[in-house]
Amino acid sequence: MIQITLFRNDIKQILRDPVMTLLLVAPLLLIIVFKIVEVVLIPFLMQKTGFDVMPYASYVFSFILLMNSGMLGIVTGFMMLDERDGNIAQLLEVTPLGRSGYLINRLSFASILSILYCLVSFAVFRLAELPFYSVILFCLLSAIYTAIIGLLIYSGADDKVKGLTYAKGLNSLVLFAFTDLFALNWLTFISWFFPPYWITMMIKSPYSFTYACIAMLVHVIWLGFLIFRYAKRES
Amino acid sequence: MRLQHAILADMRFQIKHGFYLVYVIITVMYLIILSFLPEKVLSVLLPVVVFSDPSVLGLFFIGGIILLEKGQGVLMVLVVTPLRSVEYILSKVISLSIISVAAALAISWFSYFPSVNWVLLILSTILTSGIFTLLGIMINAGCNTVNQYMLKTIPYMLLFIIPCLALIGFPYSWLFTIVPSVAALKLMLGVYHGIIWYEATALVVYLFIVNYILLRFAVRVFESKIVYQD
Amino acid sequence: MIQVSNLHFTYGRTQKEAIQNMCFDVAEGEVFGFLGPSGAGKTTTQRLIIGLLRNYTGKIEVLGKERNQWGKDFYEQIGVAFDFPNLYTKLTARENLQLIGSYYKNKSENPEELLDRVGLLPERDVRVENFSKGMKMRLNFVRSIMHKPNLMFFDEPTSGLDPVNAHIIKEIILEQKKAGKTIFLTTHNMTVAEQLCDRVAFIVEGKIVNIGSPKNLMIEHGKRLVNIEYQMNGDICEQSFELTDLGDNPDFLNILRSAEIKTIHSCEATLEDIFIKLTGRSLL
Repeated sequence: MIQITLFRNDIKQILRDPVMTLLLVAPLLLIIVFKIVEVVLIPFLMQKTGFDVMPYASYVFSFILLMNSGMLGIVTGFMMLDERDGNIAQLLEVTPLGRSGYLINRLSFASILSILYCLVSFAVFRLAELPFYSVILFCLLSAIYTAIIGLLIYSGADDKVKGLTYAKGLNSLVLFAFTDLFALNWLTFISWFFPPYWITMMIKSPYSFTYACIAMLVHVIWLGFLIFRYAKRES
Repeated sequence: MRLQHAILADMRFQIKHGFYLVYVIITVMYLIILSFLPEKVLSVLLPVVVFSDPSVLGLFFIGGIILLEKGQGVLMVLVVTPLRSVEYILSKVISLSIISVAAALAISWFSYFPSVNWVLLILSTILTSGIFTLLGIMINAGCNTVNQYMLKTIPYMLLFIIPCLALIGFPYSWLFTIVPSVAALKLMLGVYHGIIWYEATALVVYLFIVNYILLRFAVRVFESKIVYQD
Repeated sequence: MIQVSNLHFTYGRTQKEAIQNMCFDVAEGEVFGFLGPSGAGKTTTQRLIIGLLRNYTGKIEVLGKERNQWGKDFYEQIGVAFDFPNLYTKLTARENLQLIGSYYKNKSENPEELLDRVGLLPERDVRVENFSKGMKMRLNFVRSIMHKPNLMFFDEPTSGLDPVNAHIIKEIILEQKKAGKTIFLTTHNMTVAEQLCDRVAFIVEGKIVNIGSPKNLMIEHGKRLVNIEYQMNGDICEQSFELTDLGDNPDFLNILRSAEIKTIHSCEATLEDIFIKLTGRSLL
């Protein structure tokens, strides 16, 4: 019950704050921009230079998915940092919600949105040819990735400026979605440890059960480690 | 003297907040990617990378820095010290442009691009960095959260980035040079591709004037929105 | 030091008239207390004098010049401690003092000595983020006096401090006064005002309703009575006498001579009583 009331409150709060509303529809803007690029720029490039983007389509799609869930994570992270600086978090922590309840509430809200935008991305970019269960899996992974980024910012940074530094660094995590292109052994090896790499791999071979398992494992380990670290530091 | 102390304090703040570390990481990442590119692509991408990341980092960070100082109340104290608003702002601009220049130099040096005009690289990075940091200070006034700030920067970014497409070249596209970001990017391309001396001089002078005007504006906005609460 | 006359101020955003026709002056070497409930205009007045608010009408002459004629040099000569500790949380106590101190032309007092004075010397190299609120308040306070300003503004200097530390701060304020410094104190702690201030002004809804030395105000608003509590024949009794011609009052003298005295009090008003009487509301 508490969860539901809080969600409703969250939504209310966000809708009242135009900034938050806009930021939460920002992923939609990103999707639209990429759609325009797909419809207009890619045929143009093909015609003018003969450069075909199609072989790289899975990388681009991976990039879109990661950008969306990453962006939602960053926004949530900063929302929590601002709340901490404004002592709102402190207040919520002494309500029945509690410290972990507060965190779960904020993160799960972002994760649900992340799932939503994941589905929208699939619909818009006509990747419906992917098997249904893998779409579900992507949704789940998006949700986890959002939570990972949000947690990284919130628990790693003790103020807004550190948060910005983190966000800057985290942005470059997306680059691991492309490392497969370089086919460098050492780089690929490093990439194994980062979620973005596996998103790309899953899109490239949607029927691979192994990739799906590893991707899930890497995501869950990251999330688990962050939750563990957070809990340990708080106690 | 005051300015010097303020710059040192800002640099120490930035080091403590990991700015330098994160830029080492980002620079290495860029270098890895750039090292895979053929020289023809590199000659286009290198200036774009230097222009779009190190030169613009001020816009990204300044919002959080000022919000934090405002939140901690330190800004209130600085206001009642002899430190002038213009010194406060210049200190932010200069300290951030030091990181910009360092990252720009590192990226250019280690990507072993054959022809780099180093003096012009330093100049154009400082001038570009200044414009974006000052822009950030103006956008920041009136913001209370980082999310608010980031959202408010989006229209300005679009306003600055879209005209850059004019560099592809079409009839009368040179007219867009009046947009500071286009002028800055032109100068940055000149760093790597060569540029006629009088064009470079004109661009540097123009960007310097833009910086000066923005500084005056930033001081005004800062004083009316942050220093005085009437 | 400060002369304020016919001062009016209205906030631009809310169009609320915060200060109405205010007149007072603060002499050099004086501790002047500004008392009033929250929202009465204490902080607004202080900010007007400090120069954080502009567009006032009337006169604010401070350090020999109209406030809006002063430039940034003004701040070389004043020290301000806000009611909220404004510190760099990532820096240590000493670094905080050094950094802010470097912005003044006046060479700062020795940071170590200052820190020792408020009991922070052992924590001089601890980051402020690990300080308690009381420690932050003390650091905030010494920071405001380290550049040896002639005029100081303190906003609730003892709030959040335990009695021992509050006492240290009060002692330093009195020391500064002895050294000839002028102090403008804003508070709603009447005990602090009574102990420190040469004169106090009561502010209600943007107006000064009374001004004077605490002693005089207390006598003026009190009853000219002495209240005596004594034990006689095993009973505890209480009785009040007029102060006038007390020495010739036979009943009073009789009690003094024959009863066991428990307490004797004169009935001057406390500042708190005066405050409630003047403002028609209780303290917050």
